[in-house]
Amino acid sequence: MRREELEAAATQGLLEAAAAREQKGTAARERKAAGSAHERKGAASARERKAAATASEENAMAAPLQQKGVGSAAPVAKRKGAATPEGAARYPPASSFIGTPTSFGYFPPPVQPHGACWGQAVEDLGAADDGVGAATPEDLEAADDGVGAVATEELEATNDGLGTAAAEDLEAAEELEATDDFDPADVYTLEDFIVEDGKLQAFGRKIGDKLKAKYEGDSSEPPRQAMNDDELIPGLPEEVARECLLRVGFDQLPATRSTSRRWKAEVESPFYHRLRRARGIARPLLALAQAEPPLAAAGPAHKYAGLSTSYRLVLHDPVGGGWAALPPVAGGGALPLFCQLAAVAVCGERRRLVVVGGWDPETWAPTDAVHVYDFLSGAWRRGAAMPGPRRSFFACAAAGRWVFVAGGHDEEKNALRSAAEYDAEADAWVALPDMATERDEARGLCVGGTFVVVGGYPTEAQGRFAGSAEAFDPAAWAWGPVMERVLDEGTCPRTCCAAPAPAADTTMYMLRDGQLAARDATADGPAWRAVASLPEDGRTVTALAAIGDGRVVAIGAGSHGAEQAVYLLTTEEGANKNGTAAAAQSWAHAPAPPEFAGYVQAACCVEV
Amino acid sequence: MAAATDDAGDSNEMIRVVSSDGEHFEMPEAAANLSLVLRHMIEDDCADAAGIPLAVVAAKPLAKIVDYCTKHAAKSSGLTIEEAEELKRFDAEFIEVDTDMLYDLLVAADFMGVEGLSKLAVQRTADLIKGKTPEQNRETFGIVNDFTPEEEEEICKENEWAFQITKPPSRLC
Repeated sequence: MRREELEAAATQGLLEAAAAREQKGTAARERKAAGSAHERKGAASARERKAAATASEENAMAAPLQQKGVGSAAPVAKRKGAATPEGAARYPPASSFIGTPTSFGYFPPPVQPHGACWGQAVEDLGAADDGVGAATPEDLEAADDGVGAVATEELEATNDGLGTAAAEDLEAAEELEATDDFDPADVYTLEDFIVEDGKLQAFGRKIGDKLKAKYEGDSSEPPRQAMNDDELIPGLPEEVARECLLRVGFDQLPATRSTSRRWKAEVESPFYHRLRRARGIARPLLALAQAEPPLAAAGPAHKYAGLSTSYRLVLHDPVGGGWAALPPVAGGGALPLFCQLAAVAVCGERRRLVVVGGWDPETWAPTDAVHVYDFLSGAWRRGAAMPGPRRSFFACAAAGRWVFVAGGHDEEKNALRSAAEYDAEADAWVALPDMATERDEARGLCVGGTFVVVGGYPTEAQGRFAGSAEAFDPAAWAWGPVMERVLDEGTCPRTCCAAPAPAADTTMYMLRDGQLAARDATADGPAWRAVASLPEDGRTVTALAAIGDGRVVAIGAGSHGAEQAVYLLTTEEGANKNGTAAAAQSWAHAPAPPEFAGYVQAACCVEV
Repeated sequence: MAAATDDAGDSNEMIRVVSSDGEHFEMPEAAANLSLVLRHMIEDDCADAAGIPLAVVAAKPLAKIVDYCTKHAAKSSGLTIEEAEELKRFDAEFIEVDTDMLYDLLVAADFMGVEGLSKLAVQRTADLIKGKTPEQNRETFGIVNDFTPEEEEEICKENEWAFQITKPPSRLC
């Protein structure tokens, strides 16, 4: 930018500032004018009130005043030497009730209007006050009930009008007083103008300097002093500040959101979360329903530790290796046993964790409870309860903002065909069509936007798992045909997990005979392909999750009864020295820290 | 400052830059190339003896940036594990600065297009938020609490939980 342009810009700034000042002056004048209008209005309403008061005094009645009305009317009444605001608000002695008091502020339907037209005045309060000692809305309403009433609207309107009129009246009076004995300090003099003008000039110069500094480097002034209070981070350019906030850890999101309105708006924006993902800042985290750490190995309580296992939710970052406990669910209770976890994205990418069903940890009764954790607010709230029979061991998976549940068994141990969908944004459940077969202990996955229910068994085949699966397509609102032989007959589908969305042909993973297997769509139809052998000490893995980029996390005890460990499979795609494509796979093995070494009962992946 | 390290790059030419407050600095061309702005200037033959003027970068942060670029340019390719570790340590030490300097570096790195430094400084700023309460955040960044008391109360209710991230002592392979 050239110097002339800069100067022009500076002048423009000056002109604008001057215009703004001009406007301010006009606004002030307008306020003044409005003030006198109030004054007139006030006088008028005072007259009206006088008349109304006379009219109503013989009836010794008062209109039910809303709290607001009482509040603003009271000062007027006080001037009259009648009820004080405190007096008006105080509860009346029981003896002063006529009829049944109704709730404050709510006016019951009109009872036989007698055609009496009474514009109610604040002074009525005083009048009623004289009669019964303490004027209260109940009081007034009771009095009203005694003689019949006018239409609610009419009264309400009058009240509102009154409240405002009284307030305006006061305001006008104050303004009048201020004008009456005006303060010379308030007068805008030539000196004031010169001072202000000087300030504006300085401001204009500053803007010019800033612009110069930006484009020519003539000024040594650091750029941050040029910023105003509206910035995301004062002193930093918006885009830089935004970059900084993007990199806040998931655990810091709640505190970040609570820092200021700007920060709150920033982290709540869908754009923020999309960018976090695009920059690879959002991390795949595993939410785990994990047994609380066992009691200290020593001491008499130890041998009972196994009997009273309670579960909590834990977040694990399989890439960074961090572990953190989530706050207890709303109500502070322990996590239900055998609950299901699902991660949803609501209100534009806002991640929430949904805990569905399970057994009450005390009574072992199945619960229909839904708990929703918001990663932004860092708080739990109760969701709408799961409808239908209290189901246990059902299939559950999330797609977008929806959580699907299907199958499981009811309280009579009947395997279920029914299914339902929870909309996390609307906090509402909708029943789905029934599945073709009953599926108890089935596994739910979300594959390409459809809800796939794998395996499970009908009531009469207790524990003999079927190898079939069926998929619900939310767009068509129907279950697809039953897919046979997805798993081998008799295989527990527990370790099945969906491949992350962008994966080319792979739809799901599972553990088969110590091998991690992927189900690929091949020319002859989908088939399982061995991906990698689990490490020798990881054969008892119970939870599996694919976290993208060919990485798969397996969590389980290294050996039966041992503490939990995390196995992370990474696949490095690339060409080897001969030029042929090769994928180098390796398991990284990390034992969980002692306080996170408990048994993992359910897991789900959430990207925050 | 402006260490004249001969690097293995294709050019040993020194590039002169001038801070906003008129101080001159020198760095190898390979180091200057880490800055998008400087690289374009060099490509356009704008790097003359008078030096490239950097309008918004004062001497103090510029000295740091020259330092950073020189270090990183000298160690850009074929890093051994030890060298990578050393560079990591250098970065960690390098960014241990006060907020004023951090802001200067953020703005300057952004302006000069030094990607690595931008990332480093941005991450460092984000790390300032780590483990902080909202009140501490406001203090650190000079932010005014503009929530109404009602909003504040709501937030306090939500924000009682303080995350504690535990990392295992080491990762076995």
